[in-house]
Amino acid sequence: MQTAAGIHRTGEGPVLPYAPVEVPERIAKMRDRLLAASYQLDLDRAIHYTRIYRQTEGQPPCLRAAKGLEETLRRMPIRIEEEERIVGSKSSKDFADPLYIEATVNYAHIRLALSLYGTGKTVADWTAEDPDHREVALGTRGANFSRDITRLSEEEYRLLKEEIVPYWKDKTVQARKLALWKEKGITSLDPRALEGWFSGELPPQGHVTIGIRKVLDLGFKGIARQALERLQAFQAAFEKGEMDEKAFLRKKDFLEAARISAEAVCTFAGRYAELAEEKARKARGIRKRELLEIAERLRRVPAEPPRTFWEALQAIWLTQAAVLISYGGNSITCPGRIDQFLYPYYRRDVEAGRLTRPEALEAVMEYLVKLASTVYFGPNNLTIGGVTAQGEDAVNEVSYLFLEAHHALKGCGRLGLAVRIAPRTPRAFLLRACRVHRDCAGLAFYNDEVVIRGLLEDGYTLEDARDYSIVGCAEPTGTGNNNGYTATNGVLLAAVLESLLHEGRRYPVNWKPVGPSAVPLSSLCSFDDLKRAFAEKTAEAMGKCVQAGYLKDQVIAEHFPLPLLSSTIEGCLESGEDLTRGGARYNHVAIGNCSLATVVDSLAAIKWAVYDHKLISLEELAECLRHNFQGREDLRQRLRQAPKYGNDDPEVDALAVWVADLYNRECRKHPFWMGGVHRPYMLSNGSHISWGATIGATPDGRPAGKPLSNGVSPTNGAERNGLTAVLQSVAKVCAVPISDGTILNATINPLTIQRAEGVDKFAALIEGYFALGGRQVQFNPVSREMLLDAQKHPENYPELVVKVSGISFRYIDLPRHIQDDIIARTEFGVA
Amino acid sequence: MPPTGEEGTGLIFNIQRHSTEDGPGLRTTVFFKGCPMRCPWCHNPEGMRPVPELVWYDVRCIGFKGCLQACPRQALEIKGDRLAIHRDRCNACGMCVPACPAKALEVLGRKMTVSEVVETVLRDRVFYEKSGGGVTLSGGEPSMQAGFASALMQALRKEGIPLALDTCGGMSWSALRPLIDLTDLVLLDLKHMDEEKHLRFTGLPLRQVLNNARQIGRTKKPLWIRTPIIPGYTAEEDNVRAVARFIRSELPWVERYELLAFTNVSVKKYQRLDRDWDLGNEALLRKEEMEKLTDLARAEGVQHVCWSGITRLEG
Repeated sequence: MQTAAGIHRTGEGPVLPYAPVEVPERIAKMRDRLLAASYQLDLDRAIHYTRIYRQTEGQPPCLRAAKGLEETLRRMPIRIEEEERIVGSKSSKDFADPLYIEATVNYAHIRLALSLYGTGKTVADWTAEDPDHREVALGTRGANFSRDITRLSEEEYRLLKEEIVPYWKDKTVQARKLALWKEKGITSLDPRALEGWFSGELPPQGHVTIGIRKVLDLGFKGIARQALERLQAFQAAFEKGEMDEKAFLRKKDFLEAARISAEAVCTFAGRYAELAEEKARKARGIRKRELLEIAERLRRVPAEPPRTFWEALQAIWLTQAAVLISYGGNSITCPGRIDQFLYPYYRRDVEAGRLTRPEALEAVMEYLVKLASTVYFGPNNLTIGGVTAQGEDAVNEVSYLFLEAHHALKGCGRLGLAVRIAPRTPRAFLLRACRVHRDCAGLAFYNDEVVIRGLLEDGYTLEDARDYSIVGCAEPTGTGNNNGYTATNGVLLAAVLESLLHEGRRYPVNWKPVGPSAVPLSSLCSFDDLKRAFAEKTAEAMGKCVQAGYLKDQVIAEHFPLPLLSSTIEGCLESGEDLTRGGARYNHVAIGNCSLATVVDSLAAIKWAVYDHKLISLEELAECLRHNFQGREDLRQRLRQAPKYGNDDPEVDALAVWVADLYNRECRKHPFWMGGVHRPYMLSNGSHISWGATIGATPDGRPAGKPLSNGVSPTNGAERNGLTAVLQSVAKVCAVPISDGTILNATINPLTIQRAEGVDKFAALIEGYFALGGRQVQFNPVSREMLLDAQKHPENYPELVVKVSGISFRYIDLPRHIQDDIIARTEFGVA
Repeated sequence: MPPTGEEGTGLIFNIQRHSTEDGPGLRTTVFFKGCPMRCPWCHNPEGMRPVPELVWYDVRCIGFKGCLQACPRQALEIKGDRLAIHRDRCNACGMCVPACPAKALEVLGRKMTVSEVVETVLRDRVFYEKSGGGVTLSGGEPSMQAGFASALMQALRKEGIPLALDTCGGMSWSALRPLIDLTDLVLLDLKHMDEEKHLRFTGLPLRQVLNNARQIGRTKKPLWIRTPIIPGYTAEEDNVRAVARFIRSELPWVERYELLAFTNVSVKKYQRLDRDWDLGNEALLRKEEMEKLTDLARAEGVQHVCWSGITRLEG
């Protein structure tokens, strides 16, 4: 029987007994409160840091950062909610992130708050006012999500306008970076990647795992102690003349800053302990006991190593909160392999009769609700499953608890679970993960074999490669031992190709020439000539990107150290160097692209139309593209029929591998100044839409301004041979070590996985893809009808979560054009 | 045995990868063109006639009109905002197809060699292995091209690919038998258990189908029986009971009895083939109706009964 998209097949067997477990009432209350809240601007951190930075002018940057943190952790308002048993918040507001003002003063939300405050205008008014205010300005969120951005007190507004922005305006990473670029002759073309590259500062570099294991092993008191010991050791070395004074002073300042920061976290925990004790005095019965337990836990962790499961969870969350405060909510700092961290405590407690499985599940749910309060994706993207550092199966009972909790909370608006699958992973674990998709999204599947091979390429030892965590959207890195910088720079191949095809001219500037020397099209007599020219232009853009990234990194190393985060990362205290100066055991940086399929399909279309079938000359084709196919719909249609990536077509797929390999080689040939490598990624957190707006019509038949392809996925609608053919094509590309991560987005109809047979087939798709060498895949379990209906009746879909590239979003929070892009993705039934 | 197509080719109208409805696991289904039955509910009407047919996709057409000149038999004509295909003149030569930049014209039914089909279906071998799937021959009716089907099945057996044969049972046992011997699983339709209605609806006698069912039973090949549940035709409780009773008494080892809910997604296919379709406006069945019929079949003592398909959206 031929099947059409949307048909559901129930298969044999009863509906599976794996319905999500019930969410306890107190958890449900916290979740509902969070999901009802809209995003607010949190200025506490910016206010305290600004005051401290004003007072410490001229002091070493790492000490200023540590003092800013110390002051903030000492003074920011804290609270304990009635339902909470794990406490600590990164913000005093309901749903807000501490502002990393050091990155830039040009956050869309700051600009919005300043321009709308007191005008009576809403964010929705503002976005409706002018097409330029389209919701792109709010990043990937819609106006409703940001409706409370102007809810500031008069004093907050005054401080923002008169103190914070004026102070930081010329001192941010962005301002200093642009000044340095200018000085070095790099024209700032960042926002539109006119020369094909970009090197962003929004969000801050970030993209690292926190050294959770170290916090659990030593506690922050132990970390402070280690900082002191290292300082004494360097002091001795310096006195013996084994170290020059400049290096010693730098290490001394850093270790001092690390110690202050670590102690500040202990103070922060102490404040919560006191508050809990104070509340306990007024409370009664069960709540009194709970508050006393909270106080007891906070007296212990994260200053000292935890002894129990509850203490471990509390220590992890408070550490995350403190890191988010120190480095800002958009710093993309991830906890990593949570099931591995927690399992020893879980087992010990269960064996000792201190903990039951349902209690642990409830605690995990509470932790997940807390993670869901992070606005930027990353801190809420956890890693489970896979193999241990020794290569044994790492799946444990806590891995299942996280799947069950995620399932029960239906992804809680914005959670992510990176599910690692190795050949020895029990099938039951994969099946349980697949079953989550009956009710929600948020999962991504990773192929351990391919990911680990990639990390070996990056210089990790086998043990450390096996112990990887996922950072940010989908970037594999070591766990607590590296400086990630996994999503900071980019070479946008669609822009490189555009510049090549239009002899140095670009769409966003009305086809005016930009950048350096152009290759005359008349010299491209064969497809090989074109490929060669494209490779040269890619190399050129890559070189510029590396240079610009290096200069930006110097600004960050010089002015924006991260003493708290560094103190948790293996290597930093040992070497006495901050993370931003290469102190970590492993270092790497990434350069990424989000338009693989658009570029591959364009090259394939040129080969087909210009060189093979001679339907049109390259010059004529370029002319048509500049006119956005006006009057040449026939040509556009022909180009759309040209061979496309994603159909298991050997010739186009070979071209895709060639492009990926080119990108990889050009990226890796540049050493990273901290040591380690530049490594490539191919993913797009909605950037395929925003970048798409800056790219004119492309030879694959895509009109000007439309979205580019996402990640390593085929172009929306270009897949004609079904999902297995897509998986075959993408797996070929994954043979290239794009070790900083790739994302393949696929859509399945949740009705097809209601019964065991459907889940089995779903799991087999993933297993087949991984056997072929696929790196990563994620599914949105939604039907087209459901998404269209949710656009019309958002009120009926408060919990619908979708993946936009790596990031999980609540569907109703997304602006219309991103919703449309998800609807356009081809839906496949699996059973 | 009906002759194989010229030079060992078969007439195939689709090879569907990632197929999940035609047997166990993930499969590739090869659709043979030509069927001896004429069921009014058929959702693959392009599988009925054993010759290639031209279709026009209105949504793809950009009004380029290149097709009009390309046609050597003046079989195409613009009528209002539609392209009319004069079927009496069109011989599906396909000259118009490359003349359309938007691929709005397509000839359904392509002559393929065994090795061409094998090359395509082997690509997803890893998915068959991981899921316990394989290749299904469907249609149309594969046994209408028995020589080609047999050659294809032998080639795939050599490759170790598990096979399923989806058949309507409307042919002589001698024509069907060689294919049954080659397959690992048979999917057989029992559409209606009333002699008169079966003949009226499908154009062929029930007797032949039941005889084939019993013959297949004697071979002890794994067998799935399927009944399309069509409002106004087969969607009768008595009919499902009768099929179930037949299974229980004559084929008790049947691995699975599937009820396939009526689908109306084929309405466009009928339009494109210029055929009227009485069921085009028929509402989908309710989930409860499908569940009830499933229960009835179970109550008759058939063990493995399930239903699938789309049902009406309620509320």
